[in-house]
Amino acid sequence: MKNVLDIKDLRKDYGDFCLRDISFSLPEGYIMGLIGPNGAGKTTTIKLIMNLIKKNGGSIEIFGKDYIDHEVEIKSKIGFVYDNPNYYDHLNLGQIKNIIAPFYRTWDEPGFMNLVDKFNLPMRKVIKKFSRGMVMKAAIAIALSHHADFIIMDEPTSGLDPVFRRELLELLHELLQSEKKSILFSTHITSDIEKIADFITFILDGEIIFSSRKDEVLENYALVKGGNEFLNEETKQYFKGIRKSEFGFEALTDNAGEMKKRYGADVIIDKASLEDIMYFFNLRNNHV
Amino acid sequence: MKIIISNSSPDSIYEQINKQIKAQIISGDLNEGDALPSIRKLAKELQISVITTKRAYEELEKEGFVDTVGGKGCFVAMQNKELLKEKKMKTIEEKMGDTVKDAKKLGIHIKELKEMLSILYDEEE
Amino acid sequence: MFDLVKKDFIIGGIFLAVIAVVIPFLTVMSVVTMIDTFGGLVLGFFIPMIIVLCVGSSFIFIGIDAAYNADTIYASLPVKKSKIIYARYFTSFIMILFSFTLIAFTSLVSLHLFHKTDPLLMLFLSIRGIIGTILFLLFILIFYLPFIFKFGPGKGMSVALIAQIGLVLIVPVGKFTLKALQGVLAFDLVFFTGLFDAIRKWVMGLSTNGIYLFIFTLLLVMTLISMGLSTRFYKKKEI
Repeated sequence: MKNVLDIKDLRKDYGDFCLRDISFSLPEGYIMGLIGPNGAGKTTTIKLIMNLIKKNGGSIEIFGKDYIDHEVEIKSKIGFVYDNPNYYDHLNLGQIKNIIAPFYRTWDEPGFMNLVDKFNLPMRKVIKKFSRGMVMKAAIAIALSHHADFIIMDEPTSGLDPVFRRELLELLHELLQSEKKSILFSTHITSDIEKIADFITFILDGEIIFSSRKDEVLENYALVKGGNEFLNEETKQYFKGIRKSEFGFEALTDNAGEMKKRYGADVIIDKASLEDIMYFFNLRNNHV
Repeated sequence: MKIIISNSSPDSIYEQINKQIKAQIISGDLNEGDALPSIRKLAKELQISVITTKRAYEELEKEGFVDTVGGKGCFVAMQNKELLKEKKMKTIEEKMGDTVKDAKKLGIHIKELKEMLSILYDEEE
Repeated sequence: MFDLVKKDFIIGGIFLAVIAVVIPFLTVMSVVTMIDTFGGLVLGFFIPMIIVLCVGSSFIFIGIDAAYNADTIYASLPVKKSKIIYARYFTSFIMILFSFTLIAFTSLVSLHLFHKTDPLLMLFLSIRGIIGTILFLLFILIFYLPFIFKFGPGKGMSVALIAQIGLVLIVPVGKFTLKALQGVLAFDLVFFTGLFDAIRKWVMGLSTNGIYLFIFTLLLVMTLISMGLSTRFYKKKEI
């Protein structure tokens, strides 16, 4: 199985913020959700992958090739969506397309118009008059209109209503029917990615907490709830992040199986969502 | 083929798919040689991840219910209806054996047991 | 590369029309009508005006891109950064040629329309004058561009301006330092002055065509250096 993306020991120093020891891979034909709270380092990681900012260490390979040595070739096969797409405000979508399309040999004009139609985007209105959601849709339409093999999206759904978000996910799913297309999707709205992601990479405070198959994550992690008297030196070891209240505690464990076996009778064990996982790890790191 | 995923089921998603396909094979809704949808198609239709459907199919193959033909997809395997019937019969036999043991312990007579069985059988209709 | 040039004109749109056409047009017309008032063309006004209008209009696209943060778009496109730079230089060159042509044309037309003549203006509009002015403007352009790519348009222009003043001062300051050092280091100043004189004599000795050839070659070399520097600065930029 080939990897569309291979990142090893990636590092970026920003003085007060440091992204370090970032290593993960995405096999070809799958979709990976890059999750983490705001400021965790998701956008930095994606900017590094796209060479918008320079790395301070580590290596990045895309389609099996070094991402700088073959930058132009690689970028012709990447569809990219910024978290804040910047276009010339005074131009309309048709003009923007005329600027961008010539750079892609594989530009699919009918495909683009199809998406524009589907997303209800006006071709003659200036970008200045577009709502944030419309700008996002335009960026997505452009990214998906040149038969890109690797789609990278940074927070593509923020500012979009839940209905469109669902439609976008369906669209991405449609793309994945081909085994040659891969998607990297960064978001802090984990419900978007929870169902369809094949892999999840969780970044917090500049580090990777885990990068695994989503199914495994959701099977191994669980929410444990019980009375405060349950917490002691021994039991605390199982938890990544504990929230205590007057009436009991709630904690995240990464070993649901063990928990069930040993303490199944003493506590309640619930499924943990990706959001829960993010929340509790953040609790642990930042003692909120 | 019909697959319904429940978010509140204790079974994980791949387990649900696994069980439902198995049930349909046993009941005859899916016949030997029938092609299962591709893992990607199934994932898209159910709006779940590809790896999940892949795992469900892999389990089914391990258990002998389906065969993967390289490049062509997954097909319902031959013969397993008989095998499964046998398996089910065995499970029922075992359960009956336990019931008989318990009944004997409590001193329940075979006639009473037969009556109970009749009533339960009629109820199930 | 021509897609990059073409897109500049799509983007330029209305800015081009106003800054590169309307303003020079009106400015030149008014200058020409004022010839009589000042008893002749005021060189001290006309020359800076040409420089500002031509070089300024060549920076339109850079200014627009900076205002809209367009670098983010190009950074994700499959295009080499060096090509982006070359296209920029090309567009800027074109704009200078265009602006100057417009100014020259407008001057001629206004002189005719308002029935005026001016020996200085005619000198400008001779073949030599046109070529000379264009070359001069191009030198200014390739001097400014690397600064702009390193520091961005606003800051870049200021730094370039300071650097320009510094350059002008180098000769007198250099001479002064050498003279001062002569006593301290028992230097033979004659060697350097001899070298300068030799170079100056050689340049003067060239025929007119020789001088033009020399300047063209110098321009070519400096353009390559300028492009190289700009490319290096642009590649290092973080977006």
